[in-house]
Amino acid sequence: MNADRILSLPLPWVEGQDGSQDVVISSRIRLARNLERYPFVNRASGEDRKSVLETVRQAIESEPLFRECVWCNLCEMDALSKWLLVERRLMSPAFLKGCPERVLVLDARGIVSVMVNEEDHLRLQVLLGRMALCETLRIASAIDRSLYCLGFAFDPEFGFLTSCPTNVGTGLRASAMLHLPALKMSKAMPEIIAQSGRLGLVVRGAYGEGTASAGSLYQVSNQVTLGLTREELAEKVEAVSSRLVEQEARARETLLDGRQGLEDRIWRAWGTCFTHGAWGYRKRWKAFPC
Amino acid sequence: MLCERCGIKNAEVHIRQAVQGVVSEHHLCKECARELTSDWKPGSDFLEFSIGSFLETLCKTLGPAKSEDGEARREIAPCPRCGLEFETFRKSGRFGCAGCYQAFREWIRPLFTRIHGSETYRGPVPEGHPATGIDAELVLLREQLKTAVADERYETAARLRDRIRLLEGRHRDERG
Repeated sequence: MNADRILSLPLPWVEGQDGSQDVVISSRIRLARNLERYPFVNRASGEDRKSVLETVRQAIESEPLFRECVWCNLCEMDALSKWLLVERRLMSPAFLKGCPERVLVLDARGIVSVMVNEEDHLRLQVLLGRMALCETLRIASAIDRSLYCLGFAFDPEFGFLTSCPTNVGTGLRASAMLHLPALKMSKAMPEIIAQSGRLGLVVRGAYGEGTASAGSLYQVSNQVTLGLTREELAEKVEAVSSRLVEQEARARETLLDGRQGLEDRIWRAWGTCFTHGAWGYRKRWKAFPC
Repeated sequence: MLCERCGIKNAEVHIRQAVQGVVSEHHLCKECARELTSDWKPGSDFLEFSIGSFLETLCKTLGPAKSEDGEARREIAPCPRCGLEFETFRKSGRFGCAGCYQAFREWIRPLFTRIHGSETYRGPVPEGHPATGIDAELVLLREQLKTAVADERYETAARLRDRIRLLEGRHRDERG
């Protein structure tokens, strides 16, 4: 798998945009799962991880939902190709490093990806454009059920068992990526971030934990995974995201009241950005007001 | 007050966090706060103190407390499946295998309450899993109750008894 091949794969969460969804960029569901009979990745030997990979390969290859999927062995890929996969949100930044038995499985439509031997044995992800968390959850749950034959680590009291206690229970992370330039410019984000925390949600940069909000892109996701059902978690993220869409629309209207000043700032940034030869990518990015 | 992370410097950053109605407080020195929020700069809208950032500190407080007469803590047996010591889990905040949840069950419940505001899963049980339904949970709880009584851990025993009563009630309702 090289960069050219990755670029040739469809990317529906970007390509499917019709322009009407200018605030909600994408909806994502991620499920963390482990196989009962093997130690978790952090305690597993190389042999264990190979066995996990082989078991998962057999289950996926016999599953019609994964027909025509692409297997990417991370150790055989160059740095550029791996970063492309992260940039396209098909795998997590954490998956760039780790054990030699890391494999990413991509479905041919570019919607489903499975990381094998990340922090957990399986990290299953479904990614769609626009606000579609319920539909995304429906697809993810169907794939999850189709892989029950793997014998997932499960406990009646704690639910699906994961390496990190912050993922135990549903193992689900529902997130919506939002473009909120007007709320950022009106300095409303710190309050929104604080309020989201009180609701058991977290607002982060576009690529998850520890990433900055470059380009006013924010990811709203559930912080807790235990005590609520997966449907309740997805609905909560969707409800808060919808509220943010409304707030962003109002903030944009307010900003446009001072349209002349805003346009002046944007054109000045544009001019500075593209005539300043010595500036790198980050500085150019930061020159814009939002 | 000393920083709860390094335990050396004075705590100058105080954080109060509410998750699903469960409030937790954290007290950190400037350096530890800065480390936990490496991307944060003055004026930035990100002050990302996620639960994950506090995992290490939350885990430190787990396990049996030292008795008042200074007697050593009661030893917790390591996980019989992967051999993970409870002390290692407390330091790393990572389980080693599915068996660790069973081995440390009693001691990890408070951690889940602090992280998730709950310690009980709600959702579907994988088809074909042996531990399905209330029956299986009741068996497990009754076993734990016996052990708790034998160890004279009466608070735990009372909680288990309440949970068993709740499930038995639900069971009766379901069967009409």
